[in-house]
Amino acid sequence: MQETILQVHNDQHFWLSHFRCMYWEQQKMLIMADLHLGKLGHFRKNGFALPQGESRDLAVLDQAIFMFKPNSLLIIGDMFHSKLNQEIQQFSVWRKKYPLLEIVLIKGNHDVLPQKWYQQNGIELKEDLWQIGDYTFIHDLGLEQNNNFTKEESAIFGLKSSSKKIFSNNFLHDTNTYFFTGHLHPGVHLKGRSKEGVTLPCFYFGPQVAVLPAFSHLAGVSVIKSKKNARIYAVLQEGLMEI
Amino acid sequence: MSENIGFEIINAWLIHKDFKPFGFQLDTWEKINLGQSGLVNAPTGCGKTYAVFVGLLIRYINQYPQNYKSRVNNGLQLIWITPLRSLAKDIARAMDEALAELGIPWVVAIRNGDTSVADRQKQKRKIPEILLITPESLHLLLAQKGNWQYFEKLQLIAIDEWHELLGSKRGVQIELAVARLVHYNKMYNPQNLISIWGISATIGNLEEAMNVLIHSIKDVQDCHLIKANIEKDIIVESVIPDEVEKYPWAGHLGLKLAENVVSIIENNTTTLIFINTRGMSERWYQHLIDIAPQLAGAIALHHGSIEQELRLWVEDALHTQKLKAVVCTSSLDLGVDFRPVDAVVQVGSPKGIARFLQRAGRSGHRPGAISKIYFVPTHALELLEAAALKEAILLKSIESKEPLLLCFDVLVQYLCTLATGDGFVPDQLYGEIKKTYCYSEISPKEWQQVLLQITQGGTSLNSYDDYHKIEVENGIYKIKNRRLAMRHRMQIGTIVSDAMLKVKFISGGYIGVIEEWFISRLEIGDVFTLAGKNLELVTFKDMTVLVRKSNSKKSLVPSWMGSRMSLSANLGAILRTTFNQIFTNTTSKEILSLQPLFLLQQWLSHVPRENELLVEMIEAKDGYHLVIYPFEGRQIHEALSAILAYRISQMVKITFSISMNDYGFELLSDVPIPVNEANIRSLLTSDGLILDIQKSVNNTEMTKRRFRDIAVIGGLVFQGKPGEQIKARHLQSNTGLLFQVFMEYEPNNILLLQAYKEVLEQQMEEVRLRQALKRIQDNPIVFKRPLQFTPLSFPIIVDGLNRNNLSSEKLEEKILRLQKSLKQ
Repeated sequence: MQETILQVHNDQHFWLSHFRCMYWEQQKMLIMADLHLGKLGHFRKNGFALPQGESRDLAVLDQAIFMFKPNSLLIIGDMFHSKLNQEIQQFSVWRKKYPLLEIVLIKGNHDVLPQKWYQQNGIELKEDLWQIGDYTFIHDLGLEQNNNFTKEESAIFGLKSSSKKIFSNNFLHDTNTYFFTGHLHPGVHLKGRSKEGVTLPCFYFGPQVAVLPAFSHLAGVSVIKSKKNARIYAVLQEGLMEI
Repeated sequence: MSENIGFEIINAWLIHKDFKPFGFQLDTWEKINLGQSGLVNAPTGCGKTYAVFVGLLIRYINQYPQNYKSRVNNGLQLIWITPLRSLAKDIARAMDEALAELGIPWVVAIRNGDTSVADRQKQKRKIPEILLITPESLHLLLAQKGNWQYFEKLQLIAIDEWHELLGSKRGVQIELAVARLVHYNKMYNPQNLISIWGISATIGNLEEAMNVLIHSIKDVQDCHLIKANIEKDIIVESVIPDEVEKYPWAGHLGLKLAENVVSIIENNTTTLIFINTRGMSERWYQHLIDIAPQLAGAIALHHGSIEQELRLWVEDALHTQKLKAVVCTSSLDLGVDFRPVDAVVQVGSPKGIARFLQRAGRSGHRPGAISKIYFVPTHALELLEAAALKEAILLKSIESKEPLLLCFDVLVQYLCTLATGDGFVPDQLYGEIKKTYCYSEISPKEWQQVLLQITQGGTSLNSYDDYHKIEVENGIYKIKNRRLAMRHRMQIGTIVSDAMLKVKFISGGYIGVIEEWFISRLEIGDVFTLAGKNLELVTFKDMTVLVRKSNSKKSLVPSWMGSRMSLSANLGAILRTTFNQIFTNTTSKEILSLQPLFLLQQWLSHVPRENELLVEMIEAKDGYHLVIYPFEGRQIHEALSAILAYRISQMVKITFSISMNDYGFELLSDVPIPVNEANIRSLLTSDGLILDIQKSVNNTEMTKRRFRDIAVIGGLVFQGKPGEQIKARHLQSNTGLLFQVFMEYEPNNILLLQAYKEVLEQQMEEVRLRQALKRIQDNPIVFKRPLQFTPLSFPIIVDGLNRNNLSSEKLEEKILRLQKSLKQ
């Protein structure tokens, strides 16, 4: 078991971290998905008495920033869980600790705060996707409903070929690009001989697409059903382990 | 019961009808006439309804001897609380009939989840004299503004089928509602003396059952326990497979005996076939039609997930003798009087003596008639249970229902209910709450915590917070936000079920509902069975499953969670004694038929006598199985297995997969388990029990499971209408996550602590657990190492579904080991 695992892709170095994020060495960029900040606050605001404390996720983010010293933070969607609430204001306070850190957010389905709010909090918004060189970052490739990926990759997420629809966007047919996505909250289930098992969040690296684990520890996971032609790294308490 | 005009009028009416009242009915009438309270105990079908209802009529006629036939708009006189909607209709019909014959112009109304908005409005404008209501609907009434006006004139609160409600959270709801109605009475109509009457079948603790019910008035009133003392004859007949040694050792369906059931159906007028779960009832229904096509049209299916209209049709058809047989679940356990039914079939273990008797009583539902019940085992060993049940009936060993104490989830919900209505002042309400049996021991500190829960969302206060639900205005606690109030009303109730999805034909037409967790395992094109039809899954739309008819022979049968009942202590104890008879000259045909199986058990291992504890250690290709047979019921075994697993895990680093049934439990590990003749007794000691329970509970699923229900009742999770709040389900459907959030941020939350308490008191049943361990300590332990699975161990080992886990390994260690074993 290691704290970080180096994943080399076309000479680029991606350091996977057990903080559920990934550091791109050449770009000095820390990349993560699905923070869902303000999730508990969202429930409390709606009258559900869930408990709430100082955000553990922000504390983990502090640790990751301390470890990698990135110039920028790239969030592949679902940074905030819902509309503005008091818990999200914790983030505004936190943001002031890192005035030099660039933050780029590729919008996910949960990111519904007003444009102005992102500006005020020093977050640069990308509407659908962002391309850097041969890499495309997008929150949701539609792997759940619309996918034009290989049979193997459909199988990975337990999809039936009948539910395939061809994406109209041409860039998705560009086989030279490699995708990084979030949204799925991938997890892996390990089974033992004696009817035992354990489910863990994981990184998924397929031939054309990589899926990052949810950064939030309140997000839950959906289990990947097959790992043909792919590498899977399970996230544990203190490190990563290739499965 | 003399010199009262009310009684004379009633008596004349009864003589005219050629009825002679039972002694217990006369007793009850007398007490009600005096304005007193109590509990009536009588077997089903003996006129318990009349005992209470007619008593009130006598009192009323005595109050208004001149004009009882002309007085209208008396206000609500009688509130009749019943656990099942389907009971209300029949009772209302009987009451209407009696009132009409006596010329009393009272209005009888029904209120439950099926009552239309128009009818509710009508009940509000013109208050009926008698209202039949479910506990949930009664709480909904208490959530209305100015609801006290409705109950101002109330004379009598009747609680029907109290044995069914006592010991459940619905029972607690009734305690709270009764306290509220008593309070209204004292406030707004103090000259009037309100009566409370429970109606109950026989249970082991009738005295206590009464005390729970009348707790809020016991200081001011005389209360009476009135027993009918009517003996009901019961014939129990086991259906014994021809070759027991070839009958499955494990299993839960019993379909191999379906031919025998067909002949039972044919030899009786109308038969009810009780099956323990809805999923199994689907299979039985289908199978019976397959093997006996002549029964098509004369046999029907009845369970809780079937469309209401269809259920009502089945009930009507039962009355009118249109059906030969109905395959049903506990949905037909209660009250309704289906006269044509003359035989009952119980498939699989009824788990308790009271339930078995109750079901037997569904046949011959008339005073003096004989009840006939056939027992169909689903696996061979269940025949032993049949022998035990017969014994138990002779011994009249009927289970008690333990009342629940300090259910904070129900209290949280109730306070929100009151806050949705007129609001409440905590200091005034505290006294009223303390008058209930459930909350009589609530401390001021706990009360404060409950108030904090509803005003601030627990104690996790910090500067970043916008929790709001209940607001305090001039000392009055109220829910003012209309959306929150609406949501709360939709949420009132304590029966927690999985999210249900509607199932419809793609061409239109509603079929029923199905649990979400089952359907989520299917893929498009899969075929499953519901309402006796084979259906192909076409697609999902909103919260509806669209299907088409399928001719496929293979289909999946939905299994319903929440139907894993545990053998009662009484039945377990008698079951153990039946083992003594196995190799004796017994006359019991059940035991005789099982002898080949027990010879095999004896040859491979050992057949335990009444007080022996059998321990088997079996090595197989999937690991090491330690199987222990205390015969204490699934629930106690769950606790015992957790404690034993915990104690072993303190000796070595080990991970267990744990399985159990009503006879014993199994610890499975892929490394050798360090248990042997020398240490097994000390591992089962009751020393340090509490500490070990607490530590093992932390590690098991039990607390999480309990917490899920508590979270729903306490309003932490919204189940609401399907289709709404789908977004919210993400976090909420994942109980593990919810539990984790509480553990992390608010480990002392009152609802979380309740989950632990419920596990200790109800699941672990500490008292019973101690008794079980003491029995083990005082008696011989037989340790065997069979070379293959034994007839006793087999059913436990093959259960791959409902397993618990316990581990002393670190996650990393466990994963490394798992990976290693995969590579091998």
